[in-house]
Amino acid sequence: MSRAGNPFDYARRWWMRAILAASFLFLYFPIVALIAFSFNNSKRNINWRGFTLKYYEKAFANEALHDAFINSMIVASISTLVSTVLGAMLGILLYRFRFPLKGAYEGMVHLPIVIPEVCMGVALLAFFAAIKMPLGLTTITVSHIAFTIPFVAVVIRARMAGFDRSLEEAACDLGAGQWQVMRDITLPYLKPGLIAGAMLAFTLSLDDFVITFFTSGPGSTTFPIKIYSMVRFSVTPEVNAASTLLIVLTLGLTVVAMWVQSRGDGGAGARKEGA
Amino acid sequence: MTEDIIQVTGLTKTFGGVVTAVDAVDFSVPEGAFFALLGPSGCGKTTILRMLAGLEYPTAGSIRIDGAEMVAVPPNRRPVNMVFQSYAVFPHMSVAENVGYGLRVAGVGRADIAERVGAALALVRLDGFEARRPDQLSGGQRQRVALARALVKRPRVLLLDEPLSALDANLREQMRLELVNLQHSVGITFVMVTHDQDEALSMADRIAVMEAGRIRQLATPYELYERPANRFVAEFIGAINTWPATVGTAGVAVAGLGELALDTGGRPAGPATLAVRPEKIAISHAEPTAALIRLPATLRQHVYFGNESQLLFDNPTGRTMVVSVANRDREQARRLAVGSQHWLSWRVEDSMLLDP
Repeated sequence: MSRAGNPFDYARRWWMRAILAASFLFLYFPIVALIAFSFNNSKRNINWRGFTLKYYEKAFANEALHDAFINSMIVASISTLVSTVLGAMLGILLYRFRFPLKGAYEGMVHLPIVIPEVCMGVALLAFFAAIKMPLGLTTITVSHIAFTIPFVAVVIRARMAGFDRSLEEAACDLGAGQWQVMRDITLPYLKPGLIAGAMLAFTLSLDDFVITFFTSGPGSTTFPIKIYSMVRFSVTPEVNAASTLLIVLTLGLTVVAMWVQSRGDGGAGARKEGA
Repeated sequence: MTEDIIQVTGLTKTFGGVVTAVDAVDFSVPEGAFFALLGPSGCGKTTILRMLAGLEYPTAGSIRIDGAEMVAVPPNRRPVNMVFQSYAVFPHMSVAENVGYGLRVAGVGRADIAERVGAALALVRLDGFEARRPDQLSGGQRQRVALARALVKRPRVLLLDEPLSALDANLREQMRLELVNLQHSVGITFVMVTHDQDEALSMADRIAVMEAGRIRQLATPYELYERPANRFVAEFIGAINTWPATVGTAGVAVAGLGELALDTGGRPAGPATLAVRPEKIAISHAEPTAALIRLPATLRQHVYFGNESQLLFDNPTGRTMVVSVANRDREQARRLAVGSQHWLSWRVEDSMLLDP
């Protein structure tokens, strides 16, 4: 067989294609199976017994699951909002300023990314106990803010790395004050980073289990914890249905975020046409 | 006497207390001038420009613009605007939004902005480009946007940081002339930073040549080229032939050239440098008259540029001489064959006497 073509055309090699196919199968087969079996008309997830939507009805009717979902959305929304603002400020600070012990400071703020979640959970639990804060949605939210900030900061920092400082200087030179420069130049540039950072924070918060497990109290069950407690008895198609809903939600959010981003650029284009 | 629009005294900038980028510089720029700060990279010229704009705080010294002390004034309240080396055109704004930005933050009304933006774009010949996005513009067009954006603010002084360095060669030549014409038509004082001597000579009417944070000479292009104050300026601007010389009572002694009856210009007796520009030297077959400084030489290398040639000659002084000649007829370049013998000569008054 001839091997004509570009030496770097790895996508044409059969072994490369095989590895690719195996990777996709490994990554996506479980998810596809999970979704497929959520429609399975059987109490157990082993054999296919026909299509049904009754487990979705059951999941929707499950009040505890419902409450857990609402809790998760509240926690994720508030923690995303706060950690996006704080994380963006941290990212800008790390990009812009030089100060003594900056390396140590940088390492410390990024600690939550590398530290085992169990340790973070235990530490937060000990902290809340020490300040006598009752465990509940508030402690979960505070914990989620604490561990998502560095993720946002990393995204913002990476975005700022490609920033041309002279854009800010030019705006200032043209008469803009510091806040105007931030509003007119820096934030528009950061927008994709802010959206990406917020998305990351939201999904991290939405599906966090370990830290939430340590910092939740009675009556403050979140969605992942509820699903876990259901699985402890048996993996029913109801669990599959609930998980599928979570997948659809995160996918939907991603699509919306991408759409908002592309519309942001297109919208500016449309405005100029009108001017 | 009218007051100069920019007066800089004792301006100093040190970074981290170690590196002195600008060292007690004094200069002033008359209103309406095209002033250039010229020097090799790292000489402090851009730091001076950024201090004029307010983007850098001086360590010491004073900057007066239009009679007012500027050192404590933030950049957004100075009567100067800057064209950045990278142009810094805002990527998320249209051309019109870019040019109008300075007016918008100043609270100028919409109708006024539209009118002044239109006029500014016409000035840089970008009419009709209002709705374009920066990524749809060429480098030259982006530069015009940056120019219009600064000029629309009607600054007292326009600062230009290496304005032509990002353009390709042909466009650069064309923009030199355009910038000069633009400066004439708007009548605003221009201060330009450049490392390109041709750019400074052809555009500016006053040039400060800088080295290591100090101004080595501030003069007109003609004076800088024909009467450089020191060896640094002489060698930085244009090519030049130099020889170690000794100033004596009778004249100037140069090894291989003998005793020359030069006007020492008040230079004290002792070591000095004799210098002459390559294009001032004539090439001939016969020995020139004794009124000229002359020496026999052998052509070692012929560097052909098309319109002119640079000829490197071996000669009795032991120092290779550079002579540049315009190729005034088609055959001239062929007549100057490597290895051929010639006489080189120049007029006494075209010689320069510089520091050793």
